Amino acid sequence: MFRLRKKEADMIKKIEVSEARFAHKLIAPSMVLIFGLVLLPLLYAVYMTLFKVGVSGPTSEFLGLKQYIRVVTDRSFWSSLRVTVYFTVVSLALQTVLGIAVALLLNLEFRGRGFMRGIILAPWAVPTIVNAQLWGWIYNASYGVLNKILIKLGMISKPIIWLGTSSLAINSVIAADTWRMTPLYVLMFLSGLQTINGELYEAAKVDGAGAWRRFCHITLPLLKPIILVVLVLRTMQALRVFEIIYQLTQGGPNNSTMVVSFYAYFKTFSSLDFGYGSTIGMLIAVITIIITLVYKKVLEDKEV
Amino acid sequence: MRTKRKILAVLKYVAVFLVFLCTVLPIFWMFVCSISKTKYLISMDSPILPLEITFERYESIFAVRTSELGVKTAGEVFRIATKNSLIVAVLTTAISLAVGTLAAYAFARLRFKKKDALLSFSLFAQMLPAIALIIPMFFIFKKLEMNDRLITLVLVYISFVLPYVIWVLNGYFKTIPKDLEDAARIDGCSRLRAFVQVVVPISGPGFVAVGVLAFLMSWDEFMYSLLLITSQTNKTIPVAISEFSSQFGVDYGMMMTGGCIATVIPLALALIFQKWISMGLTSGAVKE
Repeated sequence: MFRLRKKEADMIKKIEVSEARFAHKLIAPSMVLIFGLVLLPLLYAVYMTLFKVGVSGPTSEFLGLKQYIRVVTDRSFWSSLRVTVYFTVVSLALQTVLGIAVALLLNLEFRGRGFMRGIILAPWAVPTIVNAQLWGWIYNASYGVLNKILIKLGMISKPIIWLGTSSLAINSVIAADTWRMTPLYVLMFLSGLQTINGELYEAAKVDGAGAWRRFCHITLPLLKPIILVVLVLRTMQALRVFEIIYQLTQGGPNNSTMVVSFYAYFKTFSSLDFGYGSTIGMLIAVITIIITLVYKKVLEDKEV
Repeated sequence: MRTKRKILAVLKYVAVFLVFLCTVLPIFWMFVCSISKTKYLISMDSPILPLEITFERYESIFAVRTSELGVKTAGEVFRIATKNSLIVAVLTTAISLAVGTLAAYAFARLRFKKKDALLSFSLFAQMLPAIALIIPMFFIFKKLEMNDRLITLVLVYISFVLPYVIWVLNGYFKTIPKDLEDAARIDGCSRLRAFVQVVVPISGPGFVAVGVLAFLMSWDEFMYSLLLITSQTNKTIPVAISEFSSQFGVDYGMMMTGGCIATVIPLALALIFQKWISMGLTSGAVKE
């Protein structure tokens, strides 16, 4: 009896070892690439934040935590973080609401629904940098079509400088980003809506629940997991916003659109302050770790 | 009751039409500007739609005319950049898919130590913003004398495309019933053969979804390309477009033409593979 157990255990162990060995072979190429291309540069970045960095790379002069102190006491850094948070919160809120609204609409029965569900993706297919240029041209103060239309309609008498006014610039950028990114939300929410059982609505209808109440008590709670997923994913994407700022405003006017990615880029490649730039990069990496953990938690909770 | 229903139906179509307009008008406008005569673009008094159109800009880009004096024409810059972008995007996608499929299968099916930690790290790698890696990469590749090469871009793009491929395919493989492989293994197949002959053939939709998105990610990338590539002959299309106005003076018509050309490939992919894309976006996030 005992012997048999031992044999069995040995066999199971053998299978497990062979399984693990096979798994290691399968993941090896990927892990070499990912570790080499992500972990190695990150470690190098840590090194760069601790030593003085010249144009040709880190020197032997040890700085300790001086660079980190320089960053966290820099008011421009905090201001860029504030702008980034503003951009993230406003664009996420706007895009989530619009995304749900359009997804609900496209989930209704109407003629041409298949066509609409396809075409809705079009803005997202426009490359980020092209989107930035397109909106830069639409917003153009002298010849842009937006001012042209508003003037023709008599809504304004002289052109608005969309991207050159501190209070307007960041919101104009958010609008441009929203046009391109909303389709992504629509797509994800649509797939969420399609999993909701139609009988639930019928039952609620029989019970006399109106459309708004059905939305609040059936649709929203059932969409909640996917809303969470989308929010975390998009928070990460919004934190990395760079191209559209680079192309449209270069952080101006008066640093009103200076997001943290662009600030790090500016410090690094315009002021050639490599140590400073990599220190901001490190802080962003730490934020990314936190968000990754939150995201995993959200996904795991959802599975239960 | 009946009239109320009719009103609602009308409202529904009005809303759909509005969404349609918001979606397509900016793209339509980009195209209109690319074929409008320049004088209509730079006048505030002219009508909104141009009265005369011209395809000159497209001709100047597609007509094969080599420049004199070694200066590149706008057309040449564009053609080279498009070719570079295609090379980089195709290579990145192919390598990431080939390597990532194996890893994703291991993560989805096999038990081994540190599996969870490795998968989390790969998720982290996918989420990490370029700005956190670009500065060390810049110096590392400079030391290796690899700056300004297309192969470097391929490697760098793999750093975020490969983790994405692993993450999504891991989710996809988990949706495939295990019984199929078990049956094959009972018939004497090795693990690898069971995977290659049973799982791979029925995973077509998964591969298409990830493949298209991987291609689009590489096609769209800007920051690495901007900072790692310096010579004109190695630039990719987003950078070429971004530098277009400074290089040839501010020519909005030409900028819009370039934009249209750079949009054609991703737009076609998005429309053709619409169903699969929605799966590629959600299957990593929406498990099962």
